[in-house]
Amino acid sequence: MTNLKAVGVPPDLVPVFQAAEERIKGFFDTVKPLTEHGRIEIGGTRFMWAQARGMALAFRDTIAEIYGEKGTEQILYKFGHSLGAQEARAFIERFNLKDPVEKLAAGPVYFAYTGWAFVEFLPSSRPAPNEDCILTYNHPGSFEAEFFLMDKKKADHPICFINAGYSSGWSAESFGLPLESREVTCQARGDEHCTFVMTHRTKILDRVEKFRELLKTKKRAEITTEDLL
Amino acid sequence: MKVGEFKFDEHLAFKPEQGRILFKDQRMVMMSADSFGDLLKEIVDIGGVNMARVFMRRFGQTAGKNDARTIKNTLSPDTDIDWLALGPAIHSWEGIVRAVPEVIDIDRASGKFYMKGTWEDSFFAEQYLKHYGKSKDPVCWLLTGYATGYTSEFFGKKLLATEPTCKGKGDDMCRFEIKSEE
Repeated sequence: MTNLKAVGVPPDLVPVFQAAEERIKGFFDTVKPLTEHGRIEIGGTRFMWAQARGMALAFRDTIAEIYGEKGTEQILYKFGHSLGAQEARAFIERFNLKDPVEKLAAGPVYFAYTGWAFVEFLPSSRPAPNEDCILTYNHPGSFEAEFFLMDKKKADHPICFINAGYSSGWSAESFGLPLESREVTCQARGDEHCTFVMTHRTKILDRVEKFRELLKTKKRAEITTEDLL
Repeated sequence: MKVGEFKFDEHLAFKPEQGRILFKDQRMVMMSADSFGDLLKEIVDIGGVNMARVFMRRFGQTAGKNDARTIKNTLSPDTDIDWLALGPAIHSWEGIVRAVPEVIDIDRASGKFYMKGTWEDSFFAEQYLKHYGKSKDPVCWLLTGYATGYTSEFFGKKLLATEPTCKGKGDDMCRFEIKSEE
């Protein structure tokens, strides 16, 4: 695992992620706070700040009050997915990115620069634009788990649905595939890491199950792509 | 701190190596206004306009309340008016809207609170118009929620922000008014 400034990646993925880091750093260096207009613009696009606590807790609690507990997690995931896809579309278009892996690599770095999370890929990741695409990764310091715990709650299942949705939305947009992501372990329920598995929609249940089973006998970093295929 | 001295970006700490951005001790995230507009659209699609209004108001209210606390605890406003005025200032710096207070009439002893002004370039009105066109009613729900939360926390009493005119319903300007809830 090589830790770049804004993402941790297996050694063979370093060059493409390094290029993404340079591109994204340049993008955020152009932030223009037009305070006299109540606007922030980056490359002509309007951006805004939001409190992470609000996104993690107020957002969740308000949805739960209105729509009930049952649908809340699906809504959070769907929101994250749309957000990731929307941000990816805009970014890919702005930089006229063509290569699917190059498009994908921008996601985690952009995610870190916008304050959502640091992404640490695991060795079992295989970013391929086909049904064998598997991405396994940790989100150290996931804002959702962090605020959940700060609120003195303890979950009985993984709760980082916005994170899961955002990364699958960005990746699905990059590869033009229906990719889905599931969190398999979560700090909010006392696990050591918030760890996610992302893959093709038709394979997600099977590969998540395999990952969970493998975690009983192996460390995360020892699981290989072949184990999951 | 006086409101005129406040510069949001001086208090921001970018930590991409941790995937976090801090405004004082408060963790922040950045997103495009279009993405927030998509969220609005999804919530309307799921629960209708009335549900979206309730949702956005509550969401804004919590954010306003948190901001008022953070400002009080970490920026040490010189005066009551500085504390109050830092709310709209932060909203401008956050890229949400340019809030311009025109009348501030408060008296803690008698419990009187009245504030009004304009909201210029509201991202919320902009996004509503983009997705739904002109509304029959004011639409800057997130902003009225935020103003309600911020001022209620500031004043220690339940206040209510309303939007008498709104660009989202075809008015020339978004205007706000905040007073005691009756």
